[in-house]
Amino acid sequence: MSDAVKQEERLGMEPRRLPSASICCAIGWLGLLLALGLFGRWLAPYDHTAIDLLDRLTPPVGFGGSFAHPLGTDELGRDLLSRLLVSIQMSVLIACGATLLGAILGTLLGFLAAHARGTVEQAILALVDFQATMPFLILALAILAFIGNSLVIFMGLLALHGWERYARIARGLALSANTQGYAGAVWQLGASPARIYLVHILPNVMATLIVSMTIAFPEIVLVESGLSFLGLGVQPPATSLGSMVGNGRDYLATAPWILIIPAATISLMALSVSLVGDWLRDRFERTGLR
Amino acid sequence: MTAVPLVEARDLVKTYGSRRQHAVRAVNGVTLKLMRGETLGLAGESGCGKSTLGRLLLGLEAADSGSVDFNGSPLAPAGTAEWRRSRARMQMVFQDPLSALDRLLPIATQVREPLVIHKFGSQAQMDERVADLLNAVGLTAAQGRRLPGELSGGQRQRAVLARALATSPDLLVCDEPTSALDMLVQAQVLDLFAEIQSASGVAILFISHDLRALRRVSDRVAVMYLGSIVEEGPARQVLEAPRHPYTQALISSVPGVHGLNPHRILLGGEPPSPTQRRPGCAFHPRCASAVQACGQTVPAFRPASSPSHRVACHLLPTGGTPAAIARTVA
Amino acid sequence: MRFVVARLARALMTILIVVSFAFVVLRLSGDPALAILTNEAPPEALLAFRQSWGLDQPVLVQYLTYLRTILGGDLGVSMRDGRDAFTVVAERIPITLAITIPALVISIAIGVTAGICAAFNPNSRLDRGIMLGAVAGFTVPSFVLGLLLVLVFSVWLGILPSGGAQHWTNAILPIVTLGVGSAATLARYTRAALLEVLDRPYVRTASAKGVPWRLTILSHALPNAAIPMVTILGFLVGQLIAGAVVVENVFSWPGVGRLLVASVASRDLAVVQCLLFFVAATMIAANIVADILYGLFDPRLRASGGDA
Repeated sequence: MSDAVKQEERLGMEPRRLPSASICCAIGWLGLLLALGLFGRWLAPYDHTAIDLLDRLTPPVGFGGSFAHPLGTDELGRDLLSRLLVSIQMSVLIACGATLLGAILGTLLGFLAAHARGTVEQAILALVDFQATMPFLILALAILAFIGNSLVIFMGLLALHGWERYARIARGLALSANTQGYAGAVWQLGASPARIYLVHILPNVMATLIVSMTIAFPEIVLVESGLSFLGLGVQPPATSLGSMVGNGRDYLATAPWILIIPAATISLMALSVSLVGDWLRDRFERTGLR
Repeated sequence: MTAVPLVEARDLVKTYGSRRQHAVRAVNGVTLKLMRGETLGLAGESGCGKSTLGRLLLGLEAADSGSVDFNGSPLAPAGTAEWRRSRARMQMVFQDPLSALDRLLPIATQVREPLVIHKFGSQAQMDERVADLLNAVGLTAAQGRRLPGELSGGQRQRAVLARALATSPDLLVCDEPTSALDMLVQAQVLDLFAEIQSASGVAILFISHDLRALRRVSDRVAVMYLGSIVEEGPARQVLEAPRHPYTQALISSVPGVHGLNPHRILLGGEPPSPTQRRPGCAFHPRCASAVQACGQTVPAFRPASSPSHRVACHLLPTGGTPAAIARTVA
Repeated sequence: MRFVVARLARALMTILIVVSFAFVVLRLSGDPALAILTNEAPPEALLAFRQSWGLDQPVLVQYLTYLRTILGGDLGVSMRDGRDAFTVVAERIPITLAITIPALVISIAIGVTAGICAAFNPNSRLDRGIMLGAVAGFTVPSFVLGLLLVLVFSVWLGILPSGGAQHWTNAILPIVTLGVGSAATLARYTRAALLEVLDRPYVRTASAKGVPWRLTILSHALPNAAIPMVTILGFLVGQLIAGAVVVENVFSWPGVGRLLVASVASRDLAVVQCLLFFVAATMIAANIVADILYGLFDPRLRASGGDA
């Protein structure tokens, strides 16, 4: 009997809540990154491309380095703190832009599928299926190979990541709103499709879409940094966290800080967004705002 | 009777499902007229096609065959610009007001929406109209600023009604508008419908399985069974002196002041299945007084006690009084 | 029967979209003749190529010609070493399988065990630890993890080689790096599936009857939790393929992933296209296997599948 009660308690705790201290840390870290992403370029002590061959591979403060270069320098004597700040800005910018673009694209296609039905819907669903079946990294590499690379193409490419999830959600919720709910009621008032979808359905599905965006964001950060690490993403002289890691790998034995600093930044960023995303999802589920 | 009916439906048929064996004939050859300012009650069990008929009359769905004329001209296909414009003239009130309202918008904004859609006038005119509408359905301005989730079921249904009335439509189709409300609120909302009807002169198709609700608001009543109308006429005649065996069974099942009627007609046979249709009168497998003809030909409408009271039953000319039939069944 | 037909139709649809995708991006890349052949190709070769691919035809005709060529098995020639693209890809496949299959096996063993341990003691310190580890394993990029392992085991401890494929010890770090992500996914999924099953009435009944808690899990919960878990097989394979691309490049492991990145960098389009089809075929196969396993595990589906 007590076993059953204990089990009841265990199950009652679902969905799991992570300790709020870690959530606070995660939110704090994300806030810091966002601030650095916005203003980092002006805080950077040096130009991120400035080369100083006399000051190469200086370790960070605390490992034999000086405050002239708090995080040390790389193989060309470029200041790592400045490069890190510029990279954070680039990575945050790309990931935010791609997440937003992907959400808009997916939601529009989902609404289109729900509205048009028939062949259009089947075609969109087939695309959703395809996107969900193929590993995104492979598709991204194929597109980069065939079309080439630029910052705009790269961001547009990353926006294709995860669009199918928004499309599925938007279509499903729009369909149920159309058949039995408020959307059907507004439709019979004589509202135009644009009004139904933008004024009524969109605000109602927003909470769910935002939760999906918190899932997509760290994945896009990972894909971006992975591609940049492979040398196929952000191209020099621009730099991102992934390309910094790729850069540092040749000096792994002699100057590991070049790699560890950006690597830790990426990992903590993705981890934080993931934790905050889980927490948000729990909260939305509990308040029923879905 | 020279006036053009507001709504005139001829031989409406609507089938759901593509496969022939499982196709559901929700509406099976319904012919119906609704005059301006009239309230027609549509009765029948759930699943008999009442709601589908309502949606067909509003042009929310296209009939497989048959036609609906509104004010003497056919309705435009659903979704077209012309159809959207015509919505200002006809509106719907739903069974579940909570799901018919957008949970994120204040009531007044939603009452205002049809005015915005159909370009009613200036902002000030709209404000005034919204205030009048809320007042007419018995909501305060403060309640108008609330979200649907913050109102009671009856208040929400009032809000839905205000929204439906915003463009002063000629036709209101109310699909079970009171069945989600508790008894006391039901009565208030029914009174509101009657009040609105006499004040605005809107024609109402009032769909309900609740005969007492129908009696309270309807001028005429039509009874539906398995997609067809079996009896239609002035509310008093149909509800107090029903001629069709199905209507009689339906009415005898309504509990009175003394509880259930001891002589109520219990329907035998299988429950109606719209997928497996038998030839002849749709009701004959469950009809206690069925004769041979009932299983062979579909009965035509014939006038009963008065020319406006029409019944589709083979037994009508020869059949005994309702009481006699009731006795044989009990 | 209907289920199988529908499944095959979906697979065909995906193949068609993959090929169409390749066609569209190929068209977007500019002149496919210049893209597939080299810039230095003689003009007559370019002309012959354009005619053989029908590039002077309307787009729809080109598309159909392209479909016929691809489905006929002609995947073009690698620009870099002049051999058949298919041959170039095929010889790399076993090398990739040598790290992906052990990674899959190990991650299933570790991930499922960890998930069960976590579900045994929900919200205990062990559970929190495992789940935090799983989130970390899921979110730390594989190239970061791989390089950290190199730093520790090759640079500092000097006990494992950092790259190449000369000896079996070269495979250890790639396998571990690849396995962590899948193990994290599996641990999270196992735990969720188990806890969901544990909430069902028959499990509650069993524990209310006094069946020991652990026995309940083993006899009632695990077999039922296995059913939804089969469905993530396709996702796992996709994760492993994407992981292999990065990990092979971190460890200079000469498999398919390294070939892909090298081909993308040098725009060896025939090889990239061939790899794209190879990945698509693998993913479709993985999803079909998952569906079949699902049918085997779920008695309801088996029963209705017999006469459907």
